[in-house]
Amino acid sequence: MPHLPRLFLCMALSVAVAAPSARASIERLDLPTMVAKSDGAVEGLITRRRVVRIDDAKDGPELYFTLITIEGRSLVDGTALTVEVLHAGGFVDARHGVFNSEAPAADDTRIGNRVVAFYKRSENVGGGLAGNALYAAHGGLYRTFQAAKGVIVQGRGAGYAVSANVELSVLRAQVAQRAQAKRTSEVRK
Amino acid sequence: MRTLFRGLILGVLCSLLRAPRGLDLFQLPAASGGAALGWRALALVVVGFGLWSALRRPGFALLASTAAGYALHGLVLAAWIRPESSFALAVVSAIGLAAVVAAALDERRPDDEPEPAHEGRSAFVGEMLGLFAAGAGAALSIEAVARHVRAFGDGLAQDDTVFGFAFLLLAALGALGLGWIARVKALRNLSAPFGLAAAATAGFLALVLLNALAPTLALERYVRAFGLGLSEHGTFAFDLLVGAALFVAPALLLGFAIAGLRTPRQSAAVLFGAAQGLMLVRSVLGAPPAATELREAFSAAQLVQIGAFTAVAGAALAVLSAAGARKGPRYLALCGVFVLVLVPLSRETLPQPIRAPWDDSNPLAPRLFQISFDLPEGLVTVESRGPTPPIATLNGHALTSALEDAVGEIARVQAAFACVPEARRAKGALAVLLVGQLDPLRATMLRQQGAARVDRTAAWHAGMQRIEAKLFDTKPLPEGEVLDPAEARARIDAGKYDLVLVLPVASDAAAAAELDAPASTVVVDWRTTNTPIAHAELGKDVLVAVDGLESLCIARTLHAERGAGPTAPHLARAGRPSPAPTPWSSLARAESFRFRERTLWSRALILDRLHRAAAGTPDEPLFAGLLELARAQERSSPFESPEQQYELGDACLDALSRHAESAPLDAFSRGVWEGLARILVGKRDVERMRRYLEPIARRHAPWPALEKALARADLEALEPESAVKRLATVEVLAKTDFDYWNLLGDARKAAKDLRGATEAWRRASELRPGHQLLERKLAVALVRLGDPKGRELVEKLLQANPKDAGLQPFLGPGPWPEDDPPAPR
Repeated sequence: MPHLPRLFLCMALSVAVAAPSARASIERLDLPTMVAKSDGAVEGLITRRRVVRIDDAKDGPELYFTLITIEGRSLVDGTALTVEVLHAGGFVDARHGVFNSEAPAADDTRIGNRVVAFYKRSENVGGGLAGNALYAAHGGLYRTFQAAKGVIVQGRGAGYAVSANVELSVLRAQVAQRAQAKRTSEVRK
Repeated sequence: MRTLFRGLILGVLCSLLRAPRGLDLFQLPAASGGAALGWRALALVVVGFGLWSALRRPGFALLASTAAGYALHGLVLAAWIRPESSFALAVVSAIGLAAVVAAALDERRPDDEPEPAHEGRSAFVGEMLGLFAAGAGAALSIEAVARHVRAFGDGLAQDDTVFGFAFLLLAALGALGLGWIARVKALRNLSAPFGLAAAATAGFLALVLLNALAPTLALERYVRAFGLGLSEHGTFAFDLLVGAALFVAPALLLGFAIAGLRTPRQSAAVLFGAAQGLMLVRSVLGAPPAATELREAFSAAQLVQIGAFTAVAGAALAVLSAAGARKGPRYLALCGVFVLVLVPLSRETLPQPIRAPWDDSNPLAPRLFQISFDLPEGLVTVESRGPTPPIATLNGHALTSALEDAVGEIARVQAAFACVPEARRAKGALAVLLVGQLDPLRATMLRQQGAARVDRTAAWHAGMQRIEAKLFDTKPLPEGEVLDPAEARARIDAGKYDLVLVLPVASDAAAAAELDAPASTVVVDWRTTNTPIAHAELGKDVLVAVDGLESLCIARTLHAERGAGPTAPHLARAGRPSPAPTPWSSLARAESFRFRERTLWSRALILDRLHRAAAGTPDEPLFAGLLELARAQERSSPFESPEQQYELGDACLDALSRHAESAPLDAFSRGVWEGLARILVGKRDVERMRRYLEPIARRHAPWPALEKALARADLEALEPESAVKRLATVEVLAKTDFDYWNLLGDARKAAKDLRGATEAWRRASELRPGHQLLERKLAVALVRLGDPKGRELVEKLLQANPKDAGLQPFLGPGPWPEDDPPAPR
């Protein structure tokens, strides 16, 4: 349900509730940087979404994380892949949870959506939880849809890894190429 | 037991005798101060008679049971028992009086020692007059406090119930905790008047607390200490907490005073005085404003001062006249009263306009009052936030539309005028009576619809000219005048108007005042759906209007013409009234800018009624879809855009599609589809735009709003040529549409037709000169085309914004960046 402009809310509402996501820092990206910094990229269908709550002695009580299962193919090499990615924020029930300013919109993470996701493995995203965090939070998740030209990936604008809409086949090729270059430079090191 | 029963009746009666909106046509937007105060004063008179007929002294038991009765009716029984006319209120008063007198029948006289006699008849009269005045003063002061306390709720009857309950409960606790002092023999007949004067004077302390709690941060700190948040304003716990904090001093002292009343006549004198005190509120605040600065500054807060002086004077008289008091305690009490008088003498009361202190939606754009003054009807303000045009409010309810509701307002006015017979409309120069507040937007719309004369009236007519002076500023007012309701009624009866238009005020559901006008006059009474109205009498058909999917309003009509075609208003079957929800269930739902739970629930109730009424008619899927939409809404992240926050399921879209495919569309259903299109565009939901909007746009072509949405879908799908082709089909209809030309330019650019893009952007620029983002796109395109005007425009833009680094390269000869620079933040 919409409400009045929420710009000032972004300032007023505490980022402290999103403390774990502060580790996934807000950064300006392009596609090469995203591929370089992330561990993987997947294109597929969201088949499951769940929220977990962690009460941690060190990081504090009531840490909420949303875990999204994507079944599809790796953008890097095209192999079949099922991966669970996560982001900070979410509700376990109507009253318990937090909204997070960097989380993807609910529209983006609905079960049944087809998406592209860039993720990075972390041993501790907060509260001791290990998993594949969406890289740059909502900046690592992009919806796709079927069109006459094929599957289109919806860009999010300047400063995002996928800034403008692009055909999935083109994105796949770009990611694969960048991933190959990354592997090569790692081997050289 | 009898006392408890008596208290319950008195509490229920006090709750029943609260005048609702809509006792007559002119009180539909707001109840008049005279009616509201008058009926409440009558309630106090009946209570006075009730206590006069009782043999037992009032105390904790009576006050507690009164509080319980007040809450019982106000929160529960009001769903079924609510007088909605002056006649019904009168009947309730009569029944209430009979009931309280009957409750005293065969009452056993208590075994108290007899009261001492007065020294003479004059002492008795003096005491009664003194108690009368003290009661009046206490009522004045407490009513002034209550007016300010009301600002901490949502301004609905259910909030008033909780505040009243808090007050009565605290008074009961005052009687319990302090009553033993009041009943000390030495203070016999002295404690009550002193207590009343102290309660009145404690109004100053309440004003200090009000001032302390009014800043949003202070209020938030206070409620957080009890585990609540600002978004829970208008709920039971929030209202009770705030009411208790603000009423504590006057209520406890009033309880002390009531516990000190020793005879039925004393009780009656105080209550009759309190009734008079309420009527004095009307006289003081209803006095015409004088030219002097002093009178201009007169406010509800100053009623505390008047009340305190009155109560102190009355208390002094009562103390001096009290029977059976010894010299020492009498003069001690008198000294106490004189000490109390120092408070109103020493304090300056300034106006304290408090508006929505729980509103933290826009901390960087504080509310600025252009004017605020008190009428018997409540606090009137003309206020603005940030750059938005000012609005007028009464008791926190908007009397005029805010900018975000402008489209909805246009829809309502257009629908109302469409009800006037075509032949009459064709002649033009329509005479309109607006029951509500005129503002520049309404004046413009009324003029555009053909109104040549617009008279105005409403309960707050005494303040209308002051409000209009602020709202219109230097803009001209339409021809017409502000009328008092009596004159307005005379003109209606004389057939002077083509249209009587009542515009909605988001408040409690109004009673179904009779719409009475000659056959030549159309009456349209708009209601919002923000509060429950599904239980109201709405007649056979109702008009419906909506701004996209927001601000759904319905209207009762009289003598309305049914039209046909795409601009015809939508008349829907009203069906039978639904069972009324209890005010308690409404209080359980929060209403904040983060999530309007109460609005959605209320809307679902009325849509359910309209859906059931539409069974078997072409409207059935329309209201099924809207009902599905209202029920689907959930609390969303405040970080999402308004469109993202909308829950828009396939079930809703399927139902609305069935309607659109089987029935001709009118202004209402077109408005719904345009709202859906806006949301789908905001959600970037290409698949559903094509699945649902495409067939509707094709069936009801040409439809610019839908074609624009689908063009955006084409651009998302990287099919700009399709977008250009689609937009060309509606060019004729969209000649003066800035959004159309802007979008066409974007589509042509994406289709690699830069020259065509600049032509479109130029057209857009003519419609909205100085639009910076548009000029930026145009400048870059012109530079790329080698047009010298491009560089001129880039220079102009950089002069206005030297920090726009993205534009700098376009000052040079090239090569320029391949991608257009993003807009600066």
